Formats: sequence, structure tokens, C-alpha cells
Amino acid sequence: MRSLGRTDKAFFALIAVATVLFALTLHVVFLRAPVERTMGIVQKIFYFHVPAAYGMYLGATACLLGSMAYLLHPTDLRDATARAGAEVAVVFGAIVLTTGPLWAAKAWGHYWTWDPRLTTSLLSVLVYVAYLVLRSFGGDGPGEKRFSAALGILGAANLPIIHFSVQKWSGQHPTVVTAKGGGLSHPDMKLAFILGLVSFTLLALAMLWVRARLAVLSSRLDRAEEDTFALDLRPHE
Amino acid sequence: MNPSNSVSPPQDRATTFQPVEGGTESHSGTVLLVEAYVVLWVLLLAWIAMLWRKQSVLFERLGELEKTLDHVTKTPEDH
Repeated sequence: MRSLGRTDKAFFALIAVATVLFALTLHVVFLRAPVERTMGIVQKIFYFHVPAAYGMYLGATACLLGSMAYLLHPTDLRDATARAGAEVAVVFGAIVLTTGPLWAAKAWGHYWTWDPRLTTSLLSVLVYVAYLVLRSFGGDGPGEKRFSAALGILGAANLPIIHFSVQKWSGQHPTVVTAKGGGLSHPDMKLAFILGLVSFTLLALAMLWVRARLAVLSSRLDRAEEDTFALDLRPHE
Repeated sequence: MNPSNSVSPPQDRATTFQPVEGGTESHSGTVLLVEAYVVLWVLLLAWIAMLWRKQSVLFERLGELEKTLDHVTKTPEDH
């Protein structure tokens, strides 16, 4: 049996820390953090809605960096990072776009409104869905990869708009987390939020790692298959 | 049954909205919280299942490649 390399050990350490932090987050969110005065228990959605949004930003940033690096000098790893980033952005974006409306049903009385932050978040997720559709059905040649990289860069242009939309335009979306300290008055609320943020960040990193590794393996296998064809090693029927 | 018999006459319909102090809520916060939490895990597990499927495809392709290489190493005089 193959012994674990340094990369494997680092990955399993990341998973172990993320698991412990996730369990701790659940404990603090559900058993320690107090119920909010006006919204009640539904406010606890916040502790994984906002961290999921940061997970989405992280995936989108990986997609941006991977895409830029790929356009400068194409390698399998750079393309795989961009692809993994887009996938993580879609997974966490879907969590954001479903947990948010569930909170809104209670807080606003309706699931969805065309608020600037909601609209720009939806748009961003749709851009990354388009990226994944392109990668899945648009072929896997260098031209398609370059076009996807351009889309990965374009998708990231929306991120600052999502972030600043609540400050620049009027809308219903709350601004609890601010540079001035935010509106979490109780220390256990702050603890739950910070733990959620860290555990989701580690989860997003682990997901990025796994997905990028799978994409690199797939590219290497593609090349090995092409070599067998080029060397005419395929068994003749 | 004639559908017109079951329709209330216009004068029987409500004409005002009356507020009720401490009335029941339309959405239960607990149910919404559980729904949000379930969605979170369903999406993460669906993503893991998708990764598993992609790995299975890679395993199949790797198996084909190994078969090809086995075939070549067993019959070297053909190449």
C-alpha cells in the first residue's frame, strides 16, 4: 500500500481541521448563540448564508487567478484551478441563493425581490453556470480553454459589484457585516459567525483542491490516450 | 353539480382587512432554518456524488488504457 506523501498529509490535515471546526460551529450556532430579538431562530441562517457567500467569492477568485495564469502561460494545473473555482462558486452560490430566500420569507415576508445584491449575486452564479456548461459541452481544445478563461475573468468583474451594491444602491438586503464591526451585539453571535466563516473557508479550499486534482488527472489521462492513438498502440479489431 | 351553486355571492365576500394582535405567523422560523440547513447538506452531498461519478468515468478510461497497454506488452511482435 502506498504511503501518504506530504501533499496527502496536508490535505487530510485540512479535512480534519475543517471537520472539527464545522462541528464546533454547529455547537455554537445551535446551542450557544442566542436567538435574535425581532427575527427569532430564522436569523441563525445568517451563520451559514454569509460564510457560503465568502466560499463563493473564494471559488470565483480561484477561477479568476487560474484563468489569468492560463492565458499568460497555459498549463493543466492553471486550467484545472479555474475550472475547480467555477464549480465551487456555483455550489456555494446555490447555497447562498437558497438559504437567503428562506431567511427572507420570514424577515421580509417574500422569498425574492429584485434587490441589487440579490440580482447581482444571481447574475454571478449564472455566469459561472455558463462557464461550466461551456466546459462540459464546448469541447476541450486549447481554443475552448482560452475562451473559458476569458469568461472566468469576466465573471469576476461582478464580484466587487455584489459586495458594494448594498452601499451604493438602495435595497432591502441587510448590512450586518461592516468594516466598523457589524451588528452582532452578543459575543456568542460573533463567535458563531467567525467559526462559520473559517470552517466554510476551509471547506471551500478542500473542495477546490479535490476538484482541481481530479481535473489535472483527467487532462493527464487525455494526453495518455492521445499518445496511445499516436503510437498506434490500440488493439486492431 | 352546477358550479355556479358553490360560488358565494359578491356581498358575502370580505371587504376589509382586520389586523390581529399576536396572530399566527405565515412562516415558521424553525422550519425555514431546518430547510436551509437541509439545502446546504443536499447541495454539498450532490456535489460529492458528482465528483464520484467523474472519478468513475476516469477509472473506466484508465481501465481501457491498461487493457491497451497489456495487449501491447503481451504481443510485442505486432508493433
